[in-house]
Amino acid sequence: MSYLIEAKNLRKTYGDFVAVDDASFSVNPGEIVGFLGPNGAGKTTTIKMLTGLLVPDAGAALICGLDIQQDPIKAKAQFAFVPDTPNLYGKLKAGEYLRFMARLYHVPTEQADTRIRQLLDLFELTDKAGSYLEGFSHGMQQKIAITGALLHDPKILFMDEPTVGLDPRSARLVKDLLQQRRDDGSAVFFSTHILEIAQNMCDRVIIIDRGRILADAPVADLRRMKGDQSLEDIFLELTGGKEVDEMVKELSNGG
Amino acid sequence: MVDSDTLLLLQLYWRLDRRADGGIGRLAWARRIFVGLIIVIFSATMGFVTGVIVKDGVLKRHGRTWCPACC
Repeated sequence: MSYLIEAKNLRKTYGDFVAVDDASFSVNPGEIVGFLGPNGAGKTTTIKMLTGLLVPDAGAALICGLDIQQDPIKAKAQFAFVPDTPNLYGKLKAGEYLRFMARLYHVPTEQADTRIRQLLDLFELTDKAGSYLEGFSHGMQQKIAITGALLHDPKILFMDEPTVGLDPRSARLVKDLLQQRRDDGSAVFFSTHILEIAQNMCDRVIIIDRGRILADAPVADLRRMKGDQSLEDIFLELTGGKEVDEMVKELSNGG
Repeated sequence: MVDSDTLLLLQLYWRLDRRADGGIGRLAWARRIFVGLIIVIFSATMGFVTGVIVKDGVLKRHGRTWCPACC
């Protein structure tokens, strides 16, 4: 089977600090994979290497079989990336930004206009198409960023904390959209701190801590292996969070 | 020959600069024309444009493809 995403022994250091160490995994078409880890675990660094924003010190990132460093143009045309903080041009109107994104990815004008209309309608932002982005709330900007990412119908969607800043209705909408993309044969790879979302949405989770991959398995298999614990308990056990739990308990007991 | 990506960059730069503080007036026009010419000359002679300041820093292009994640 050909993978849509393949990380091969990725390694990245910042000075003496090893941010990602020998990370290897792959993602199949039609799969939603959650990338979990505590703060500073190496999630964002890994995503940045996969998307070509950072050059790995060792290893390779393949997108649809294309090395992101060797063949960046073709590789980048295959995916979209929605960062956790939408960094949009405040001085552009929403419609202008979306048309700009469509032209970047060479989406035919007619097709782009239809898709922009549909997605803005879905996110209930149609009447905001003529407004400047600087006046948008974080959640609205996030929805525009997601709309922009979906315009060229990417085979792979990378998202960093996709539901942060979204109201429950929009968060649900994003979850539905991701599942629809999975059903259409695309791959979705997203990082999250919300384990409930990972447990409910993901076909598979990859847990990273201190730059090393600690687990890579379907949620159900992980739970079976760990005596039917919740994903939260498994996550805390693997990342050492249980020790912190015990310390907090001791502290609150006056210990 | 200026490629379509460069024209898109020019359009974006022009719009953002015109709408930014200090984007109105003869000086602003002169600045935009000067920067625009540099972009066109670079694009026509080298086939790519990098490091063009359009917003609070640098708008990066990776190879000949823009990277929305940087923008």
